[in-house]
Amino acid sequence: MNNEALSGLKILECSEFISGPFCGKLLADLGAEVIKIEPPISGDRARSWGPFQQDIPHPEKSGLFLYLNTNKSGATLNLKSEAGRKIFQELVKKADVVIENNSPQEIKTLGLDYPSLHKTNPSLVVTSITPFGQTGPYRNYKGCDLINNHMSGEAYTNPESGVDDIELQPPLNPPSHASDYYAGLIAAINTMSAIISRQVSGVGQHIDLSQQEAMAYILCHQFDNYFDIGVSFYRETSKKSFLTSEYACKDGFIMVSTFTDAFWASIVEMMGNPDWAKSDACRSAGSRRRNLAMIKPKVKAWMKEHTLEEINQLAKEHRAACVPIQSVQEAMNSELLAAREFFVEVDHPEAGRIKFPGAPYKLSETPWRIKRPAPMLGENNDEVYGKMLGYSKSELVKFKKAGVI
Amino acid sequence: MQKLPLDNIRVIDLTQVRMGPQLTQWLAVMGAEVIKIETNLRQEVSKMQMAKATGEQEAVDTKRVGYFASLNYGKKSITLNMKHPKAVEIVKELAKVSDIVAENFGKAVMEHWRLGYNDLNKIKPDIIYYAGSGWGRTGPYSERPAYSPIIDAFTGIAYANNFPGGEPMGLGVRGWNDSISAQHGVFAVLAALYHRSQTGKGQYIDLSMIEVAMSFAPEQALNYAINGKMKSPIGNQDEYMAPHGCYRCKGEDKWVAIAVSNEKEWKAFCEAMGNPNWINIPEFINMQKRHENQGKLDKLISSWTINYDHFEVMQKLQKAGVMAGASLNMEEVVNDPHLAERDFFVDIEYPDKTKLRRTGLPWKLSDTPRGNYQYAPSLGEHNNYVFGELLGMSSDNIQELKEEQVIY
Repeated sequence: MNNEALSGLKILECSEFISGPFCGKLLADLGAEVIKIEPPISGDRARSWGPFQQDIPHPEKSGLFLYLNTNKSGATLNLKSEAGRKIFQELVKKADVVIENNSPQEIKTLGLDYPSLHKTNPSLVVTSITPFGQTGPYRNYKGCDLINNHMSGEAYTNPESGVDDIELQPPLNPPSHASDYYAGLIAAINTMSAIISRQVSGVGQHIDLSQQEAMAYILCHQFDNYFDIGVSFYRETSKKSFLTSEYACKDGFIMVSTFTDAFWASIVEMMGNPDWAKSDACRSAGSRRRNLAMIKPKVKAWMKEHTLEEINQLAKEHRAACVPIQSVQEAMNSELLAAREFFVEVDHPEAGRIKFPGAPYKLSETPWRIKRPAPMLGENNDEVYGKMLGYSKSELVKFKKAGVI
Repeated sequence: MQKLPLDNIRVIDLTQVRMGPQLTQWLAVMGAEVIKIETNLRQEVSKMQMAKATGEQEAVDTKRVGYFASLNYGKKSITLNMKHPKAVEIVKELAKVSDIVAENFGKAVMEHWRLGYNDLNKIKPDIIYYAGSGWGRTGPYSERPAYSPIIDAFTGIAYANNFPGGEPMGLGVRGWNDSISAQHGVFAVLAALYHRSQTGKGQYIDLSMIEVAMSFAPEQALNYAINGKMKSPIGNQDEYMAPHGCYRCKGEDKWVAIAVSNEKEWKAFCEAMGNPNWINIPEFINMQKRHENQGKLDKLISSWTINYDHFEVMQKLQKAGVMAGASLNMEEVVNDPHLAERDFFVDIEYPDKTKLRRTGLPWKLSDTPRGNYQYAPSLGEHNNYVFGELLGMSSDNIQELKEEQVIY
């Protein structure tokens, strides 16, 4: 279809939970044909994650699974069986990309190792996502989101505003499995670049994505500081150096940014140009940093004296660089996101209608869109094995009985 | 030797700060010729960043240090005073021989110069035009400035980022939203390039930080959408796994992260700790019970970890097949033997043979060179190349334009 950016690309997604599926979602939502391969009976473990309506678990109603697997068709296949791996090789012959997030030790037994996939289809792009990558002294280390974030330095700098007791409060894992999503995003970029490469060379490649590296990359400026001036950023640095922070007001919290001198000036104006702000101590970023112990409590005190509503009004009047910290509920009901038509309602045969976050970008010619909800377990087995590979209905019954699909 | 994927692509880069430059940097490293339009009239914010970091206003060679040097390696630099009508004409000439235009002014700056998408696609019909912003190029906030912490405040993520019972906190490393926005932008641009290769058509990409942030790791939004619940922060804990946390080790501010996801791993973990008596109490008999009693469990685990160096705990547990990772500080990441073997950091070489160490991109294809890691350019370093070679201007013409402060 001309109005789908990635139409024509055939992708086999043999991954579970978040990182691989998010990569697959990014591609599927722009029109790539993504077949999600799940183990029979149990399926992707995101199916048991939730959130569930009324907290009642159901493999077809897990919010995480439903969100991450939009626009994909679903087939079950047992890659632990030889018959399953054989069928997979037939699928590989017709595919452009395989996405997988199994451990380096497991992939060979599953038939997902690059050398054997490449042999079957030399123009195949294989995207492998693991906590530490396929090479190096930690390649056999086991990981998950917690480990990725702590081993990349990401947790060590979190929360930015510091803690009350650094002896008792450890470095903090960022929320919502962020490292798994980020790995999926980086994997999608790597995958597209390999597809573009292939347009010239005709040959596939292996993408070896390490989640530790992906997360460490976000800290590039912290490493700049370390390399250039020996400063080692940690979760107290910001608290001790910057005015940009959350501030408690009378009835909530405000996020203030003093990223530039102009931002600071707007905050001062909002606070009514107090005399203390006219002193030399406040003159420049450098002087404000040196005098933080004097300045920060004054800003804190002013914030505490005002309500969220008062500050929001003043901020609008003075175009001040601050904003109330709101809950996700307020975000989801915001006028802004409604005007942008950001949310989409997706109908699922079992889960019903759910309001999901929508497009991260608006493309003029090939708009992002949801064509179909996440697949039910094995929903498209007939299509995939019957139509695509030519197996008969009775063969499929045999495979099912044998636990192959 | 394999070429780089974007070898034949040219990008006009008018981006600023981080969300935009980080996007165009990926394109540069992947082989695109990225022409960064700068000016003597105004310093790029990331050049001021270095001065901020030292707290002093000092003249630093920002192409060799600081954030500018890490966001702009791989790119070329020209100077153009966009206020001058001749500069606008030059950009149009450049557009004729370019594939992508990238800007993140966030408001109608390019349109004001008659260089918006609807202007440029008349000159180059298949142009791919990326317009980044904080709040979207259309909509009720379309002219408002936005920075990463302001976006965090809007999305609700601040409420999820803390220890249990804690107040809302900004995410560690404030460039979080810039990074995810830049990378979504890279993906969108590559998808648009692919589409163009199939159809000959370019397009306009409107990417807002707020929409990227709301669609990324949306577990709070999912909880609210599906059962109207607001998720409270869980710190280093997990919804299901226990033990799952970060434990104090020997030394100052040294910690180790440990996660146990099944009974097999739990047994291995207990053995690695030397099977202390406390493991056998009914409160820890299975995952669910351990989760219920994780406060108690965490204290007991800490009483073990506190006796060891954090690397020691990591190695011991990983050897036993248990997920564990030392909580690395900046120095430890920089010196990490695993990242070293994988060439994560790059040594950027300058013409005088000096080197600058920087973070490389997590972009590695098995049969492709590492990428274009050419040193960050000085202001206008490629004026002669772009105006002379690319656009065919005579050196007299270029000199005139410099005197008129067009090339400035």
